Amino acid sequence: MRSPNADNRPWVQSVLRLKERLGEAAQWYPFPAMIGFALVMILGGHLLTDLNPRLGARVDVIPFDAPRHQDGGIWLGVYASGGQLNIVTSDRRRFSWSLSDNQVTASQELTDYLKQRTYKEAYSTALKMQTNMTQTTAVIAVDQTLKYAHLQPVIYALAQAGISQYGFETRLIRR
Amino acid sequence: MTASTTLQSKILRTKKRLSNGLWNLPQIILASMGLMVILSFLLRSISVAGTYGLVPAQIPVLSEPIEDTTYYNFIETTQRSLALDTPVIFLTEDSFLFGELAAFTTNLSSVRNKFIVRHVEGAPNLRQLLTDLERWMYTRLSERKIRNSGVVIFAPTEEIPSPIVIQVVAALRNSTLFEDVILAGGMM
Repeated sequence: MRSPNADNRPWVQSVLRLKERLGEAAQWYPFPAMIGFALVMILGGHLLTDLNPRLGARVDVIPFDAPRHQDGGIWLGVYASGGQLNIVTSDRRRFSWSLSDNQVTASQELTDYLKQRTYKEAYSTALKMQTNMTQTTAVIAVDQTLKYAHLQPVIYALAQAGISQYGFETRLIRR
Repeated sequence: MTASTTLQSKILRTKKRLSNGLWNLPQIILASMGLMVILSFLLRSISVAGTYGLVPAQIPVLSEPIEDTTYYNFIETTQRSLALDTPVIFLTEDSFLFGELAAFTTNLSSVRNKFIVRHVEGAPNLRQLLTDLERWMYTRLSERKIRNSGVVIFAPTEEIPSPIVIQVVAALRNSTLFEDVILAGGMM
């Protein structure tokens, strides 16, 4: 049996309004949707990831006062999750291997990636004829729960890629 | 049954399903979950700090200068180098061990060239380590004329937590003794 207030329900009203609106040709209709889509693309796909590579990496670095550093170099977030050692880079590449492996050398994929990044930085430096220590320094953000054994493959990969300057990221303590 | 009848039947069934008041519950749950995902993303974006610190470390490279035949004729010189008298610090679960590189390689059997600083209640005694290192280096300089090159090799054992490794590297760099700290992981 149909309720007497059935037509007054909010969703019925909104459906009726939508039906009425779609019943007529409206040239402007797609544009609000496109604006929303473009905002999502710009904010989600470009700006936010470029502004802060730490979004999406479950890395909890130690709170420790150390000299500040500028973002922009090779950033590697290292954390453990689900029995895997995960490495997230500033350009959203992911590498992982099992924590139980106890391997000393890194995976070939990570080494190849770092070599590629080093080559890009070297090429850019050669073209500009100037170098920037921020760009050529690798920053390792290590989760507090990890041990030195977990870091060894990452440092080994840096050495294999010819990166001599690196550092450990710390969260500054505000006083 | 024609296509039109089938379509009308489907529309009627959909209308009947949508007119049921219970459909709001899954909608609310779905919307709440979506909202929580968006809120968690926003909270993470807000809570991520804008500035971070950096504790630098070095990886030694083989000195192999390439001759630059261009107009500028760049020359890359070696700043510091590793030798058998370079200080090495080992960090184990119960103590620091330090000495020259030779003491842990070519002269490993000798017991008079290695020094130990035990942890205090499980925590590394960094202050004592730096004091002992300073005395040892002064003795080396006065007795054997070995100058401090400003480089130290630091080798933690595998079980040492990474925050302790980072803090020891920072303490060594902040001391007046060393400018470059080389983690042994980069020397393999």
